Amino acid sequence: MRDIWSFLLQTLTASGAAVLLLVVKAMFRDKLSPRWQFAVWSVLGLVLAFPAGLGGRHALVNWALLLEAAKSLLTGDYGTLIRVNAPVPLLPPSLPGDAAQWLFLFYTAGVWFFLIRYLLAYLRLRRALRRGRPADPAPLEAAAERYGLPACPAVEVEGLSTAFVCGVFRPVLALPAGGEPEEKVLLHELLHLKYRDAAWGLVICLFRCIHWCNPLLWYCAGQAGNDLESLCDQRVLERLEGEERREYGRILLSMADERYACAPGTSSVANGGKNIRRRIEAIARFKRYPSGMALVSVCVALVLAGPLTVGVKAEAGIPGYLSDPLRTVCARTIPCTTPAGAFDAYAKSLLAGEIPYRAMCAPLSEQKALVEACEGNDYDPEWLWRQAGGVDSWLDRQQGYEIYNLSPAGDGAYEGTLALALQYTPGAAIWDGWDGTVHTCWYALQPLRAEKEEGRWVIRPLEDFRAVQGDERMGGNLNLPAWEYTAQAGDFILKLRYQTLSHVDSYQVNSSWIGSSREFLTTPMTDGRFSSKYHTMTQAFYTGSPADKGKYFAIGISTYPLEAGEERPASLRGPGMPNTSGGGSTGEDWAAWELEPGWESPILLSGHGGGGSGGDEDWIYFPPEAYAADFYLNNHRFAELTLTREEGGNPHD
Amino acid sequence: MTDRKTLYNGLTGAAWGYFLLYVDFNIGPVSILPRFAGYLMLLGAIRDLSGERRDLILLRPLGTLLAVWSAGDWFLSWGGLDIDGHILFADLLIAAAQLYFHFQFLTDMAALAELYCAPEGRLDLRILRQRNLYVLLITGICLIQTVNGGFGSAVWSNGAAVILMILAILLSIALMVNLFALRACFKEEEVRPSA
Repeated sequence: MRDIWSFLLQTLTASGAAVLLLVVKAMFRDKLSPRWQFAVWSVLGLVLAFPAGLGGRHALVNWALLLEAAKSLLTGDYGTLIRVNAPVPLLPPSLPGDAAQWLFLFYTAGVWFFLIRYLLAYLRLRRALRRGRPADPAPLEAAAERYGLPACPAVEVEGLSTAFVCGVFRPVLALPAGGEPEEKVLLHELLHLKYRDAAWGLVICLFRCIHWCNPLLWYCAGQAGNDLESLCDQRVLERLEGEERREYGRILLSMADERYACAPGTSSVANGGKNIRRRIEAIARFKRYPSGMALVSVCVALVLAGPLTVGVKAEAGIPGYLSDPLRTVCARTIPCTTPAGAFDAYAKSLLAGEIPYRAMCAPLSEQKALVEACEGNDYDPEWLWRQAGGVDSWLDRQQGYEIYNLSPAGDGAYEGTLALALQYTPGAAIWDGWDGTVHTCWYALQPLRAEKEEGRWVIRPLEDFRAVQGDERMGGNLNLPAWEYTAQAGDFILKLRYQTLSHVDSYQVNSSWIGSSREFLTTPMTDGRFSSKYHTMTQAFYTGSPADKGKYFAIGISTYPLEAGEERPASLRGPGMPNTSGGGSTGEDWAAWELEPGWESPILLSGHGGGGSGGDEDWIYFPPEAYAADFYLNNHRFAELTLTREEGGNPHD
Repeated sequence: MTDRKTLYNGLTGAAWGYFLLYVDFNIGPVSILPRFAGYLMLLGAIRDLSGERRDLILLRPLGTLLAVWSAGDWFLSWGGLDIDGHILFADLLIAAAQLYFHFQFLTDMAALAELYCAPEGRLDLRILRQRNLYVLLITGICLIQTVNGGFGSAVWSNGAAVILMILAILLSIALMVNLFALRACFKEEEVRPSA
């Protein structure tokens, strides 16, 4: 925790868990034993020990969303995210400059104040114990021997009203001076000693210091301490019989008004009248707790611990009742946890005209501009489109989007070209009546880069949108960007285009009695995974003399993709019978064609594709390093080639 | 000591209560065998059997909570709404209450079986085993939901959840069969004197 906001996130998250635990404990007060009642506090301990909001998750209430909104509105700071680095206060990066930083300094000072206060109380107690005189070891040893428990040094101290164990590593049993100690009190303290309960006291005290200004957590700390004593009472009762149990209850009752040691690292049989009353109630229920409940005790604790410690991932759907600026502020608390999620959020922000979706995947430096864009009453759904340099046309939302030629771009980043379908030719005057133009296959393209910023994936556009008219041959738009591999063989230049298309599956099938329809969902999938497909197309460009064209009557090719460092196979598959083509699952491709007299260049030789989706994993195709090829002319192998990727070629151009 | 007729009535309520909890027929989004009716029958069973099993009284507040929650869910279902899965706080509370309620209720049913049913059938052990399995399955399903909620739905977790659900369905059938078998032990001619 380096600022007041991260402290608030941590303490509020723990408070939510504390309220749930208090309710559940009240529900099971007469059903589950003190052992469970104390053990279940470990769930709160875990919540307190782990930084809140890890991975954009939250427990019970999305405090990050509320605090982020409060922070931005109060301070005008949009460029940072509330993040809990550690569950303890750390030194702030700079001297206080505003009210929030001064508040954090005050909070940190409070932590130190309580730490020092408890430390001094402990040191005072140890000094008092050093002044005490060694107690007669006989009663303690007798009790330890009778119940099979470890003993420790004991001292008698003037002015003490009750016995207590002090210290975790070198524990000392402090006894009131004068008078024989009760055996049952000794048993209680020896059990504290055996189970090292003083250490729990220390942990509770530490949490008290860190959350000194949270009264709910202080109340829980008090309850946990009392539950620890109740647990010790139960352990005592398990070792006593009949009348002895009643006597133990009477001893406790007699301590109701006594003062007790409350320094860290101590455990005292007396812990205040109110608490003792609760413990006596628990003692009265000792034999009435249903037996054989161990399994369900563990299961209930697990069911509670799971969601409270792991948390729930923030949903991409932002509450609709919030104003647009507030929705945009809140949106940055919903991080894109995968590159695919970031590309998806960016594409859908444009398709849906939703600025909050852009906030999910926008760099922090752009957040303020996004909030300002939707302030006031003139929310403009086209704002994002214009900001991205969108072309003069309407987007065809039901077509969804594709990321072309996704590839790693160093530093863990990814680059790809976003393609959005357009409804008509950009700039066409469609309102003036149809002029005979077929407005099909128009796409808006924009190269994008996805990179990590403060644990979330963000998108940085590399250029403005540009419009391209594609074609639909072989399933992929071959007029859209692709990697190119080339080689020269005699009078021909061979060109192989390799293109990948990736997206996060966002279609939902709606079924009803009149049939089913497919709907593109525009809510971002911030943890989405890519499904991908690829297409290849090989063409032969004739570079020879037109007079020589007639000597070629058949052409064929066989290609095989080579990964980096991979050797060319000993032989490639033959091109097959004339006028046939085919492809294999490892990316190889073959075709053979008869050439008609007067054939035109370029000749489309072959093409194929494939695709898949990986469920929990990204399914991405990356371009091969090169292609091994056998080129056939007039039904004979003419050349053994390697098609190499064009140097400096831009797959997003 | 409770008379046989009351015990038989109580066990009838318990067996049919579980039937209503586990068997569901829907017309549109609305169940015609609502779960809250099952909990009401279990509350009736608790009333009848608490003379014999003192711990059952502890289940009354939990049973009432579960009945009210299920009734709320059922009434909302008329409007096509669903109460589950929207308020995590309430979901966790109900999940904890359900786990404990069924565990202790079945513990007491097993105790009755041990006391009144023919030992050779080991009906008590069967109920105890099924109780343990039931609680483990429900916990497993809850933990998988936690994983899905925290890290996003994964193929393995969805598969595991389906397997656990199928096991839970099979187990509930076995439990119903055993509860009706327990009831059969209390038919007048079959009741043995208690030990």
